[in-house]
Amino acid sequence: MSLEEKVGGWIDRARQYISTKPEDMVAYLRDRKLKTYFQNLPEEERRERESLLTRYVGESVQKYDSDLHGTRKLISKSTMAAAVVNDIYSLISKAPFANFSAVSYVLFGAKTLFELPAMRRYLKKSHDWYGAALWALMKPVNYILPIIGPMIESGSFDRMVKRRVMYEAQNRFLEHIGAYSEKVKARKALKTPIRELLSPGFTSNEELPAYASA
Amino acid sequence: MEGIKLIKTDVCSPENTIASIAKKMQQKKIRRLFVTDKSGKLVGVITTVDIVNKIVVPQKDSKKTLVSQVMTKNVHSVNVDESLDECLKIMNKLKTFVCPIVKNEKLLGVVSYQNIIASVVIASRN
Repeated sequence: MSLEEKVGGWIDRARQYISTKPEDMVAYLRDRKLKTYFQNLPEEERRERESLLTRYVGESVQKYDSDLHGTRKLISKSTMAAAVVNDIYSLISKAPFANFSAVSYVLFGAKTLFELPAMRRYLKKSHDWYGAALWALMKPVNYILPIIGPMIESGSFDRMVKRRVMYEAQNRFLEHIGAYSEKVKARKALKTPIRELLSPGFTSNEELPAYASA
Repeated sequence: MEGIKLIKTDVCSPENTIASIAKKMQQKKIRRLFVTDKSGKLVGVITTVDIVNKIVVPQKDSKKTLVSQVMTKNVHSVNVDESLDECLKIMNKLKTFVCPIVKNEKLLGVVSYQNIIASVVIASRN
């Protein structure tokens, strides 16, 4: 593989990872996360699985559609663009740095404020507490990082939703083809009624010493 | 899914004396007995710790004291129609390693923490 192809591959992967377009999510899942489920398959079955994955991603995107668009996105992009300009200007001007950090603070604050209702709606639907915690924890880091911080912060909410969409689509896909993850299998086992698990007969622990008996 | 075999439990009646059940516990090397009424309904549990704390230390007469006077009533149990998850919740709450399983309030047996973990691990690998 030539260097050009390698770099092209990296760019493709990065684009798939960053992009919030459904087709890129499908491609990322198909080529990376669920790669083994698309290998060595007849063309027809491969296409069938791909259309299934596309449907699941589409349905999950639909579910969170209201959280991905609207005023929040507009405010998010514009405040972070202003924050990037503010950071660049702070580096080339001789004005006191405190002035610029205060502006950044206001911009980050405004962005967060507009994200809160969307976050509330999102959490109600997804219960994605891990994603929400990550979203909140990364804010101070992105605030401190000049230029690149606001750039990362700009799409942080969208990426959180995207990760959830892919997670849900991936689980539904695996469930459909009967390839549950160990975690899902364990969770299912724990949720199964005891009646369905009971084997005939009993075990006895009479032979065990008293300190070990149940 | 790996099946679970319940642990057969010895039971006693609330009218039994402590002396009689202590002998049974010694012979069978067990540290707890579930108490059931005549219909098989689970009504309590008595452990060696109960006997030590309520009979031995206060120097009560074990031949005259009944199980019903010493046993712990309102035993947490799980119905056979509920899930293993419910058993784990009870075990975690009470810090125990066993959970009685009942059907129509009648004691079927006991499931241990070990049984649950083994079953879940096997299910997750299949």
